[in-house]
Amino acid sequence: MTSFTKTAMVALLSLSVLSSSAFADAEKGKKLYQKNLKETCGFSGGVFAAKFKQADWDKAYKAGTLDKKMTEACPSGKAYFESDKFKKTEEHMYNFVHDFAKDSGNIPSC
Amino acid sequence: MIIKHLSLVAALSIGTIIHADEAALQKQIEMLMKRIEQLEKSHGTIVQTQTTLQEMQSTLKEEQSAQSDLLSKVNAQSANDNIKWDIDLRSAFHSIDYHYADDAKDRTGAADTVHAGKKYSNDSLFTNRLWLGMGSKVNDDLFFSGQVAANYYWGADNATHQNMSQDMGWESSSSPHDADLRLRQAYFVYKFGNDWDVPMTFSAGRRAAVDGFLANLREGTQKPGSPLAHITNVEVDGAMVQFNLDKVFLPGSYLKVVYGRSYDSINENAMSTTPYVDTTGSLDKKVDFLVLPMSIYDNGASKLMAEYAMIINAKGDTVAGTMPGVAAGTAHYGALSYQLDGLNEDIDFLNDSTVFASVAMTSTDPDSGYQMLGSTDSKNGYSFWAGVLFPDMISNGGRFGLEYNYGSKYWTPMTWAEDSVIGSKLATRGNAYEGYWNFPIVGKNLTAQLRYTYIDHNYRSSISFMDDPSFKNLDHSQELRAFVRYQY
Repeated sequence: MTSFTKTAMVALLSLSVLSSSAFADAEKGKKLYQKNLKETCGFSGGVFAAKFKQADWDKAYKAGTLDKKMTEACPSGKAYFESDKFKKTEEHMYNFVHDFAKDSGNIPSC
Repeated sequence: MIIKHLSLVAALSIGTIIHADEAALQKQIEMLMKRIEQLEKSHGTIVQTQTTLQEMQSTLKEEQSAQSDLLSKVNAQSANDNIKWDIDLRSAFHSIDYHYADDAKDRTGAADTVHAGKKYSNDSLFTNRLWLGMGSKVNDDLFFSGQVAANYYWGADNATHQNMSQDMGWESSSSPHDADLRLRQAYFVYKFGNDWDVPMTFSAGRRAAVDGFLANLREGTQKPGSPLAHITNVEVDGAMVQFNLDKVFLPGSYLKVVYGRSYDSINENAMSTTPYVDTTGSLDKKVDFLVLPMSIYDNGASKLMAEYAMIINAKGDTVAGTMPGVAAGTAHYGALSYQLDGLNEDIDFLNDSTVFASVAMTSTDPDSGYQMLGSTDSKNGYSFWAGVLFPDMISNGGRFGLEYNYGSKYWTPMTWAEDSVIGSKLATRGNAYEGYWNFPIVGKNLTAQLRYTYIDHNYRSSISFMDDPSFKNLDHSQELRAFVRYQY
C-alpha cells in the first residue's frame, strides 16, 4: 500500500468519527411494517402511510404521540404500537410514513 | 304637647328619609355617569377595533390578491413541469492490482509470454459517478421513473483511450469513462386490476436490472432492484408484465416477465436509402432476452427470490474460432437467493444484522457450427454466494459486511454492469472474498464506504461465452475502494 493510499484511508476513517446523526431509514420502516403490521392491518404499507398527510405525521411524532396516530390509521395494530418493540423502531416507522404520506408526492419504483 | 313632639319626630324622620333618598339617588346618578363614561370609552374602543379590523381586512385582501397573483405565476411556471429530480453523487478512490498467472494464456490458448507472471497496478484511480433520478406521477397507478448518469475517472484522456463498453447499451453507465450524461433508466409503470385476485402491472422502456437483490447490500443501498444480482446485472431495454401474487400465494410474492433486446447490429445510418434495415443479410443476429424474476416470499424480514433467464443468440465463436463475438447459441440462467434481516429481535446487535445465501447456475446451448465457452457441447456452470452484515458499533448506523462467492469452470453470469472496477466479482471462476464497511456521515444523505475485494481465479477471467475458461490468464486481482456519497 502506497503512502498516498494510506493517507486516503486515514482520511476516510476519520470521516467515520464525524458520523453524528442516526441512520433512520424509510426502507427499514417499510420492512418493519411488512413484518409486524401488514397482516394485522390488512392493507399495504403504502396505504397505511397515505392515511395522513406529512404534517399530521410530523405533528404526532414531535408531540410524542405517533403511536396514537398510527393506531388511528390502523386500530387493530394498537397492541403493537403500544409495545416496547415499536418504541425502539419508532424513528424508522416515522421516516417511512413521512416519506410515503398522502401528500408526499413520492413516486414508487417498480 | 305629645302631639307636638310626635309631629316633630315625624318631620325629622321624613327629612332624614328624604335626605337619605337624595344621597342614594345622587350615588346612583354618579354610578350611571361612570357607566356612561365607560360605555363611551368602550364604544370608542369598539370603533377603534372596528377600524383596525377593517384595516386588517383590507391588508388581508391585498395579501390574498398578491398571493393569488404569485400562485398564478407559479402555476404558469410549473404547468407541464412534471418531473421531480433527485441526486446521487459518488466520489471514489480505487487502488487496483492484476496479477497474471505464471503460465498465462491468451484466448487462443497460446502462451501469453508478454504478461505471464507480471503484476499491473494503479495505486490511485479516482472516479465520479452522478445519477440524476427523475420521477413523474400522473396518479398512483400510472407513473414514470428515470435516471441519467455520468460515470468517469478523473483526468480521463478519452481522446486517446476508448471504452467500447460505453457504446454498449447493456453497461453504458456502469464503467468509468467520460463525463457525458447517458440514459441509465427510463420506464413508465401502469398498474391495473387492483381489485383482481392477481393485480397486474405493465411497464416498458429502459428498465433497471442493476443493483439487484443482494448486490444492494455491498453498495450500501437499502432497496434492491428486483433482478437477482447473482446472475443479472445489466442495463436493459424491454417490456415487463408483473403479476402480484400476494393475495393468492405467499406474502410479498410476485412474478415478473421481462422481454427485451440487448443487441441489434442493423445499420443505423439515417443518410442511407434504407436506414435501420439489414439489406445484405450478413449482419449478426439480434440478441434478445427473457428474464423471469420471482419473489417467492417476503415478509419484511425473510425474503426468498428466484429467477430464470435466457439470452437468445448469445455471443460465442465459430467452431473454427475465427469470429469471436458472433451469435452462437442460447444461454440459460437460474438462481435462488435468500436474505434474512434481523437475526434476533431481543438483541439489538443481532436485530440489525443480515445474512444471505444464494445458489445459481448457467448453461450454454451452442447452435450447430458454433462454440460457446470453447465447446460445441452444452456446458454448465455453478456458483455459490453468501454474506453477513452486522453493526460496526463505531458509527451511528454503520455496518460491516463480509462476502464470499465461488464459481466453477463454466460459470458465466450476465453481470457486466456490476459495480466493480476490476470486473464482476460474481463472475469469478474461482473464489472471491470481500469485506466492506458502509457508514453514515450525515444520516442517509452523506455516506461513506471502505471496501476490499480479492479475486482468486481458477480459470480464465472472462465474462463472455467467446472464451475457453481453460485458458487461464489472471492468477488473482484485487481492489481497495473508498467513497463518499451524497444522496438527496
